[in-house]
Amino acid sequence: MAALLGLLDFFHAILASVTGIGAALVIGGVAFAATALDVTRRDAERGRFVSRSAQAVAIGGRLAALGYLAHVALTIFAVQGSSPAWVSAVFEASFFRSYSVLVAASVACAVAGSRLVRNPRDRRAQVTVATGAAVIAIGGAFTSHAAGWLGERAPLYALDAVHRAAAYAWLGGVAHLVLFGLAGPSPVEAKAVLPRAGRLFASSVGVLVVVGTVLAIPYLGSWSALVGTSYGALLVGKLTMLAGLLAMAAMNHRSVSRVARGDGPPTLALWRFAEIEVGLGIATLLVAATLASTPPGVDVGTEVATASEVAHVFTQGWRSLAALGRSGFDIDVVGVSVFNHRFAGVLLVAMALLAIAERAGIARWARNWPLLMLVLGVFVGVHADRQAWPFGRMGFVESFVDPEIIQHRIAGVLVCAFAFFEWAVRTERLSPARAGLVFPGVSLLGGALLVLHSHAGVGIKYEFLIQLTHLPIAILGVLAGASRWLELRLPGREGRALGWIWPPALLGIGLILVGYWEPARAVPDPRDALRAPAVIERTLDS
Amino acid sequence: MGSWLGLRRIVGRASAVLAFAVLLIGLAEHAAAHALLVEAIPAEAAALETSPPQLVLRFNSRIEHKLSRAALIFGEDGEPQPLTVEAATTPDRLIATLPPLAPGSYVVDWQVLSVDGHRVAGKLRFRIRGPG
Repeated sequence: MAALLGLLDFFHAILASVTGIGAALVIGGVAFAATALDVTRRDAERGRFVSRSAQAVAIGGRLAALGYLAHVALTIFAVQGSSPAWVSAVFEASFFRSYSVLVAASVACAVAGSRLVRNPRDRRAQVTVATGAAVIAIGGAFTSHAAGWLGERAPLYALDAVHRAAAYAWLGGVAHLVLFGLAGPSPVEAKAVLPRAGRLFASSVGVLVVVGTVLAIPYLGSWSALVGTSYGALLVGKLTMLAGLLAMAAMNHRSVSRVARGDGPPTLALWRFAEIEVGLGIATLLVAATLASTPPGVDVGTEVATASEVAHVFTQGWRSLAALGRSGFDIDVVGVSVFNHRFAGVLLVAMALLAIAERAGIARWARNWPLLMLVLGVFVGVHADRQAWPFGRMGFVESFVDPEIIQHRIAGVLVCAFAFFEWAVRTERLSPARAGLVFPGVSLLGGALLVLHSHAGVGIKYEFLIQLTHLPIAILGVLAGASRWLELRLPGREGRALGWIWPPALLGIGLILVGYWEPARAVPDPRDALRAPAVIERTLDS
Repeated sequence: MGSWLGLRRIVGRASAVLAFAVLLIGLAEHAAAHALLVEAIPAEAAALETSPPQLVLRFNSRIEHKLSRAALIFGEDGEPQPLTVEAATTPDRLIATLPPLAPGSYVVDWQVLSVDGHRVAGKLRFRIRGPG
């Protein structure tokens, strides 16, 4: 029971991501069909696209319904009581009522969406989906920070619902645009639909930015919270991903304008940028799900880090390296965690430099750089947790009860697998068409996941400072993934030019890791007691 | 080439399974709670002269009082004694009347549900020194 309750946050975070993707498919589908596809038109060609969008809406409705339902079930499990009054308390609870409405709306969208697949002109199903989408946007606000807010809640509910609707209309709408592109529209259809889609996305982004800014004011409370709290840092991460999405949107806008002017059919680049927009959109939804379960910056009080403390995290590592010289890489001097980060950083810097040498045509053998990633994989899997086998006293099997150790071990195996794929692609043993996408796909996903990575239970400020360096690494990871994806998917000069972004991004990640530094622990790490006696003695001596 | 394809398939499938596992475990590490305990009476690690009349836990958000609870444990290994949580008088506070407490160490094991459906639990330790 205790173990299951410990995993509750983990399940809630997954479910928040699932419901976010489902809601985006529903709301984005409605917005895209109503504006870009113009569902009122009665021709068979347009009906084909509406039907395809309706299919995605039905899937989104099912995903969202399952996610909301599972959230309610888990919460009831977590707060279960023994008295009969407990059951009525659940029915009276705000969360139960909000989620029940969301489940009903999602099921309605799933059913009506399925009917639209068969008959895209079914008026009643269209109205049901549109109403359901509006209820999901409004109902979602009642499960956000606004519900728990101690001040006046009505304005926050309204702003949250509009913010949610705009975000989902954009991100979900782009997913529906990709589906439209995959359906192979004729140049005439593309010319009719793309400019309207462009206007939908531009207006959604406008609303998103304005309402998001207004909404951030009460939750942050001060500029210092933007810099010195997890909530603020996550917000900065979300804004950076938003900037990336806007850059993609801006590139697409040029193509859309060209199509609207009748200067030719949509280019391949348009669809490829849209793919990356979907990828970045999912990453942004993951960050948004994290933000929803992070205490607002305004509530952190005295635990807000100052700007100089934040700057210190990024500069102290380099200062200590300059002062210590080679000892800056001595595990007994800098500690296990800092050593691990710095060693990984050195490997990444070497990989990035070799990748640059390969791209610049300086050394053909440099294409074997993914082999260094194999070394990194083994290092992460074996050395990340020195309290466990083969370095510590914790046995190999015994170590698999700790989620962090399991994560490191699996991550190590995964890095080795991805190294294999990338090396096989670069040495022409595998075709880059599919196998090559493993590396950018994992970079995108890994970057987004790193934003969620937190060190819980060691004090709010300490936790924030220690995870701070993860944020730029995550953003660079997402950037590297997007760049490599476009390099592979976009043939010609444009793809090659964009492919020049990921090696410097990799170099940036490596340099951040080489200069890694952690503030002194506020609470002793109990796992230190499980480290090998010799290591403990050396640490105590120093 | 055939063996390469076989290897690729095996590594590909294993990677997909592992990637999913990392996704799950990676998310599991994210344990930031939504509701935040901002004030407690008695305070964490407090050493009191006399038995406090009430337990007051103040959070940064509204809580569902009927689905929140607290139990008092004498010492580290005592039997948990459920406390009666007062009805919603203030939206952000869990208030429970404490029985007269003898000198010794106590642990309050609490659990609240914020109105947006996030469960948060924690422990609060305090000590009664007693007269003299």
